[in-house]
Amino acid sequence: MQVPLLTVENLSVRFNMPDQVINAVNGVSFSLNTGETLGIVGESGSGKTVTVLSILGLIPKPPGEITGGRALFEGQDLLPLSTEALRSIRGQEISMVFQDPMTSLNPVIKVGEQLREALWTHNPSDSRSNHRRRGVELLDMVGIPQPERRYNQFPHEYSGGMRQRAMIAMAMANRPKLLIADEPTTALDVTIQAQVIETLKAARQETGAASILITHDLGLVSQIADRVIVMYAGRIMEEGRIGDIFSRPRHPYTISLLASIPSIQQRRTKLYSIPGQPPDMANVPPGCPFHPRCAIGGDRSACRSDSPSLLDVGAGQRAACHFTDEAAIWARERGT
Amino acid sequence: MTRYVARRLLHGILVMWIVSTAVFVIFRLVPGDPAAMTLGFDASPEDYEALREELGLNDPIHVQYLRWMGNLARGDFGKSITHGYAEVSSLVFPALGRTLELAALSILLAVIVAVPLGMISAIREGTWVDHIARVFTTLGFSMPTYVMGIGLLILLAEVFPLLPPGGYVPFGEDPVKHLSQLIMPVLTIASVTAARLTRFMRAGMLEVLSADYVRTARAKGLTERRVNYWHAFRNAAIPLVTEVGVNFGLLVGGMVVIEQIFIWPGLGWLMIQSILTRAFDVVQIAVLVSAATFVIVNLLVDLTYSWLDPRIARS
Repeated sequence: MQVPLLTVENLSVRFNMPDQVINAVNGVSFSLNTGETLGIVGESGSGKTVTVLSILGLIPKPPGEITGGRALFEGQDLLPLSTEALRSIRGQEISMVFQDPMTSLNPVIKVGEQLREALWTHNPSDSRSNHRRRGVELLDMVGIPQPERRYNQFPHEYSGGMRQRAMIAMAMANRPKLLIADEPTTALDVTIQAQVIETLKAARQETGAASILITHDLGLVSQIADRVIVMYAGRIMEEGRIGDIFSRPRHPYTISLLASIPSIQQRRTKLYSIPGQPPDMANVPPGCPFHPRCAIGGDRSACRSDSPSLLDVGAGQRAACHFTDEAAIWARERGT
Repeated sequence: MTRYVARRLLHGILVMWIVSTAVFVIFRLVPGDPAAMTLGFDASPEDYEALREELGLNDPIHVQYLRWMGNLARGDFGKSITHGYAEVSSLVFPALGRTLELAALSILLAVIVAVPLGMISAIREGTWVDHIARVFTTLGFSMPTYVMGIGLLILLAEVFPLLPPGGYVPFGEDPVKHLSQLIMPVLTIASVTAARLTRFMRAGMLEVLSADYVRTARAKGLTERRVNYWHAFRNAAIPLVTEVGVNFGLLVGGMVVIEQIFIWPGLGWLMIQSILTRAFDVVQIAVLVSAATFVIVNLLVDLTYSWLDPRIARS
């Protein structure tokens, strides 16, 4: 049995706001092997981003507070580490690409300078010219034309897609073991999305890094992830290999998500959409957080009072639902 | 960049033209013409007529306006009748120099205090450092300059006679005395300005600290120092430059009260004196020069701004 690169156990994070407490992440556990790609899927506010930011100590504290759990990276728990200790992990062992490339680069510092800084901070003894050479190389690797010239430009001289490539170059600079991409294509044009995903794949292959891809786009996950986690209201609803999740979903929420992907084969006149609204994170419904929107368990007392635990449903697939068998039948009937 | 500078320069000239026209209009068209202002109410009609002729007030208004603008364009600010026909420029410019000295030193001190205080206050938001800084800024904000000035005078010149209670000696004559005369007015102005700048710096830093690129900088593994003092500060400093410039400009025109309290013969002091002696020919140039200083300071601010923020010059 392989030792996982990253093991998150029972992670809980909350935000203590002046007038309310938001339980953003509730007992999330998952693991990731070397070289593997994990997709984390969910609607806005489902806790996907908070989960990964907590691992790197990047949530603002206060108001954020990690109330429990562990995040073992190569056997070391990252959660209790000091900022100074985390510094050698960030950008070197684990690096991140963020959602909005328009705001994620510092507008008043040249792109090359920001790239060089990522190299310099982890190898301060190396010469400036070496960092520069490597920086230009990285820009070239992510497919930025005329990297020498582009190195000396400011972010506002880059297009959105190029900025995201520069972010990827920065993230790959120190050949991290784990690359986390938080909705890397959400803010980009559709035509650019595919290019950025290709760049991401190429960068990952080049370095052999494991990766976590956070997205609300199930289609994107099916293209590059090995396994997928479906999150809702700060909890994991279902987890499994990508093929299993798509062919045999066992959680009504996953089934609903899959049903809302537009398909060319079945041109439905009206696209399926999940009834209701994502939960208000300050007032999550008791029991299963999805029950008010669930087609199967909506009125059942078990769903309204007991929060289902994430249980094995076979073949490394786990689902947090009281009625996984009924869900599986429902999924087949729907033909998703 | 050259085009940007040229455009800003043109803009400044336009503003100066509008200001000089406004000064002309105000001083010619308000009730009580300059001759009456100079002579007072008890002058004989003959003297009044003679002065009107001498000042060219009997000429048609457009002739007066063109003469006014022409003189200004040549840098001829005229002579002051009430000051024994002394060149107005020989009165206004030395006064401006003294005001600039006071304003510059005050701004410098204010920035030296406000920038670190505002930054630390933002970085350590909610801690005791932040609370102390906020008490200080609220105090500086709520206390009028004249209260602060008079309070200082009572404390440092009356109760503990450590400093001269105002006055002015040129630096060349007695450097020590000159500097000791500067301390109280500078402290007074700087404390108020520092309070304003600290609050501005703190708010700017707080905004920038929650920006995505600051999170990116942290995610890269940079030190907290590098994140705060390089990534965040560089962005927070840009609006601060404008704020400092605006405050400096306001000081040059707004030092009337402080210069009165400390008997500092600057531009504000000269204006009050000239109004009291009805030297309208000095007042109008003093107003103009103070406006020009404001325009020039703003121009310099804009240029600094474009140098600090690479996005400006190109748009």
